[in-house]
Amino acid sequence: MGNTLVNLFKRWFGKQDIRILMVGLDAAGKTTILYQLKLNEPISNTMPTIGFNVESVEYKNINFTVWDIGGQDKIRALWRLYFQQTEGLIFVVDSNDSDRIQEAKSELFCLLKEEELRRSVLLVFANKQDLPLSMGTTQLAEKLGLHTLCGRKWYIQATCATKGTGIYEGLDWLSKQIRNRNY
Amino acid sequence: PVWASINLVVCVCARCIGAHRNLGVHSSKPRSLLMDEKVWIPSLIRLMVEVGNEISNKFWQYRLPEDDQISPESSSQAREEFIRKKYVQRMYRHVSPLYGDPVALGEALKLSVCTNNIEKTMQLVFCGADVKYISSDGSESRTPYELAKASNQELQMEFLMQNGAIMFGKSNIRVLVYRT
Repeated sequence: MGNTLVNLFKRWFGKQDIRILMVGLDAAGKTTILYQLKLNEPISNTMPTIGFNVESVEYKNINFTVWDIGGQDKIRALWRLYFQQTEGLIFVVDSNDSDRIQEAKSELFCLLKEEELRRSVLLVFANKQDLPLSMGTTQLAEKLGLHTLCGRKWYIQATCATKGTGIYEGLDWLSKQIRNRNY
Repeated sequence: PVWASINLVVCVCARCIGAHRNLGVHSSKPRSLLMDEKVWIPSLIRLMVEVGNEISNKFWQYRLPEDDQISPESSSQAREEFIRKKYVQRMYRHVSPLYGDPVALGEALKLSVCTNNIEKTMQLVFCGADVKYISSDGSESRTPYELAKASNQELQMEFLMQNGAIMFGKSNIRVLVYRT
């Protein structure tokens, strides 16, 4: 009984810790998104991530621990090492790269088959919206087959990481999902 | 260099690859020589090896003033500026005499893709030749890609494909082949 009360208080007044995994093909903008969240300013000239970056970001009384994992094809095999206890999955797509949208889709569907990610909600960032040939969220949702996902809460958000637009809207959705689940 | 831009046909060092990533895939498609695997099909490897930076830079840096040249010590800002000038504004390229005449460029491209002269094709494409050009007089209904295929010019096909001649994302052929 006491324990239950403590837990309730924690939920109402304490900070929640949420583990977020952010993946996607190489050069989609994952690291730029992470540091835009952390520092509130764009970083220029991002080197490819070899391995991972991790940062904690506090937003709306939730402490997001965001793991940003490199996306080159051979190191995608390492994504699975970070699956454990992932509550939110952020999948970042370069909306300008129509040649590789099928590749992005197949990587996403491989991820979603994983048992450890069965309960994670899915937030797709349709990044690089500022570029000339970028696809909109409706088109991307269709190309990625998001409507065919069964029993998965998902949301697609247009972003431009270098300008910082759209990222917090995505986090808003994530925090809402996490809250709803906990009550 | 352990990185490459597969549409510009150049190998790139680790310090410059960040700037290539910033350009967007409509300008440069950066890939890792070590950490990307599926993309490196034999025809693309051959294209990169046979063209190489020497031939590529003969085109890309044809009119490069000495003052603009960057060195290994250049700052990342100077690097980015140089890379934009070189590949986006294409300021230093060897301009084709046909520049500004889409029909002449297109016709020249059709001839070029049937030969093994990749340099010529690169020059035409990066000077504005339409990779999907079809003669408007009805004399030839095939695209440059189809012509290259008919002439068995595998490297020409690869180069055209990397530069938007066909949407390989749609058919997904390349992804499937390398999954098996």
